[in-house]
Amino acid sequence: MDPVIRFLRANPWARRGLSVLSVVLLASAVGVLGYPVYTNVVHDRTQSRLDREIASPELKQAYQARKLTDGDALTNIKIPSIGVDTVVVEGTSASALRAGAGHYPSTPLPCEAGNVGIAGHRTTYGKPFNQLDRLKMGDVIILKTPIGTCTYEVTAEPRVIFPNDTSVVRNDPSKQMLTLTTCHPKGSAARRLVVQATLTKGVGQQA
Amino acid sequence: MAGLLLSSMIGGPSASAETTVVSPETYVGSAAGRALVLRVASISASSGVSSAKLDSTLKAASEGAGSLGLPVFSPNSTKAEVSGDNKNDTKTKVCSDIDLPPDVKAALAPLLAIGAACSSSLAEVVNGQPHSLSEASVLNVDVTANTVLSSPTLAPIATVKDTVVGTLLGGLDTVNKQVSSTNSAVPDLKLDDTIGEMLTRLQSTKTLDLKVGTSRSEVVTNGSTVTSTATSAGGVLGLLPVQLPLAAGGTVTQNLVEIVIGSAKATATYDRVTGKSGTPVYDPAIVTIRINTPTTDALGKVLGVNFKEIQVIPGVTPALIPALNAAVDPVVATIVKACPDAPNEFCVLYGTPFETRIAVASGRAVSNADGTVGAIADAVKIHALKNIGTLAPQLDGGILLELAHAEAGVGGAPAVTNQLSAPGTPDNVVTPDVPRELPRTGGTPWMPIVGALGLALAVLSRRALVRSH
Repeated sequence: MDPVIRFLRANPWARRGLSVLSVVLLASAVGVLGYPVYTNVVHDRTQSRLDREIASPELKQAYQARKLTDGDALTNIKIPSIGVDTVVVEGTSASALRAGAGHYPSTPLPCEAGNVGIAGHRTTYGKPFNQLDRLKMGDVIILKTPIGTCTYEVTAEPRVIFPNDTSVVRNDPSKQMLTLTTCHPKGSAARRLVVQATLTKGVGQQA
Repeated sequence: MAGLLLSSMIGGPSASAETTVVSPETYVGSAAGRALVLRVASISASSGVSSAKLDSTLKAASEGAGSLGLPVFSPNSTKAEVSGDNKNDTKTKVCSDIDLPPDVKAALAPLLAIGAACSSSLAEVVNGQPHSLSEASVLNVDVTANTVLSSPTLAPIATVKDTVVGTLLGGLDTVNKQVSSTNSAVPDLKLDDTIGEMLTRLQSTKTLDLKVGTSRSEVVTNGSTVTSTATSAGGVLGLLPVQLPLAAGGTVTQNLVEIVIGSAKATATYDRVTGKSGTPVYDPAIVTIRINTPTTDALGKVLGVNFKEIQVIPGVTPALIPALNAAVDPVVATIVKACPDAPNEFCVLYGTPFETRIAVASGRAVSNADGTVGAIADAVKIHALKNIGTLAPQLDGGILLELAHAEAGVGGAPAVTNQLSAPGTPDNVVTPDVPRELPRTGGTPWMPIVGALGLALAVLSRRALVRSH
C-alpha cells in the first residue's frame, strides 16, 4: 500500500487538511485559468458603458472643456487591418486599462498636434492590441473623438523596446503622430511593442 | 500642453503650458497656373500646367506638366509629394519633344509644330513648414501656313495678294495717299509696292510664331504666414513675320503684328496666428499689340506719334483707345479695331485670312462660404488666324489660344484653445508626467502554468483522499 495512503488512513487530521488544501487548489486553479475570461467579461461590460458614454453630449462638453478624468471615454479607435474597434479611455492606470485601451494623459488629445499615445492590452481585457505586431506600413488607424474624426497611417514597422523606454510617448510639437504601445511577447510584460503612425487627415478635412 | 506645441509650430508667440488645444489648427493653400491652352483643328491641349498645394497635416504636393493632351516622346510631367516633417521630394526638370496625334499629323505636320515641353516639381516639409512648388513650360508653337499659301494647288499667291491687299493694306494705301495729299510732310509711300514685296517675303517665313512663358505655382509656409502664388509668364505671338531689308545690308525678321501677353499673377495669404486671410491680389495679363508695318513706322516718325504700340488693359474696350479711332489715326485703326460683331474684343487684320481676335479678361477675388479666399487672374483669349481656313482648309477655324491663367487660394482655422490657468505661471500648471514605465498590458506568462499546476495538485489530492477511505 502506498505510504501516503497509509499515512492518511492513520491520521484523520491529515485527511481533513488535505481535503481543505485540495479545495483551495481547485478554487485557485479555476481562478487563475478563468482570469482572462473574467477580464473579457469586465471589458465587454465596460465597453458597453463607454459606447453609450462617448455618444453623450455630456462627454462632448467635458472633452471640449478638457475635464476628463481617469476612465472616461475618450475616443474610438479603429484599425481595419487587424480588426480593432474599441473605445479608448483617458488614463493608463490599471483600473483605466480594464477598458482595454487607455490614453497617455501626458500626451495631446487624439487628433491634436504632437505625439498622441495610447496603450492597450494584448492578452486580457478584450486584448484589443493582440495583433498589433501584424500592422504594416501604410495601414490606417482611425480615431473618432467626440468632436471629430481623424486618420493616421502607420509609417514604421512595429518595434520592440524595454518597458522603461518612455521616449516613445514623449511629446514632439513638430509632429502629428500617434503611438500605440502594448506588452510583448504575448502574455508577458517583459518588453513593449510600439507602433507609430502619422496623421494623414485631420479633423474636418476632406480625403 | 498641446497649445504650446501648436503655437511653437505655427511660429507665433509661445504659449505657456497652461493653454490646451480643443481643436487643432487647420490650414490649406493651393495655387495653379496655366501657360497655354491650344485648340487647332482636332487638337486640344494644355501646356505649361503647374499646381501646388499643402495643408496643416504637413502634406505638400506639386505637379507640373509640360503638356497635357498631346503625345510626347518621353514623359514631361513631374509630381512631387511628401507627408510628414523634414521630408523632401524633388523632381528635377524634364523636357520632351511633343508629337502631333497620328490622325492629324499627316494633315497638319507641315503646318504646325510644337516645341519641347518641360516641368519640374518640389514638395518638402522643413521643421513643420510645408512648401510646394512646380514649374512648367512649353517652348513654342509655330504655324507655318506659308507653305500652304505658296502652294499653287491650295492658294495661289495671287489670291493671297488680292485678299490681303484688297481688305487691309490697300486701304492703308488709300489713307496714306489722302494724308500725304493734305500734309506735305507725309510722303506717298506707294504701299502697293511695299505690300507686294512683303507678301513675297512672307512665303519664306512662318505665319504665326508663339513663344509661351513658364507657368509657376508655389505655396509656401513661412512662420505664421501661408502664401499661395501662381504666375503665368504669358508669351509673345508673332503674326506674319516678314524679312525686311536693312539699310546697312542684309535682312531682319519682323512680325507684321506682334501680340505681347504680359504675365498674370494671383496671390492669396493666410495668417495662421489670427486665422484670417489677407485680401487676395491679382495682376491680370496686360496685352500689348505692336504694329510693325513700314507704313506705321513711317507715319509715326513723320507725325511724331507712336503708332506701334497699343496697350490692352482689362476693362478697356477698343472704343476707349484713342489710337483706334479712325479719325485720330486712320492707319492704326485699319489694322486694329473693335470687332464689328463683338465690340469688347480687339480685331487685328479684321476681314483678312489672318484675322486675329483678342479678349482680355480681368481678374477677380473670391471669398468662399467656408472662409477660404482666392484670386484668379483670367486668361487672355486669342483666336488667331480666324479665317485661315479659306487659304488652308486644314487649319479651318484658326487657332484658339488661352494664355496666362493663374489662380491662388488659401484658408484655414486657428487652433481653438482653452485656458486652464493664468498664463505665465507655469507653477500652477498640472501637467501629467510622462510615466516612468510603459503600462503593463500583457499579464504574466506564469499564470496559465500556475493555474494548470494548481489544478493538477487539486486532482491528485482528491484522488489520494478517495483512496484513503
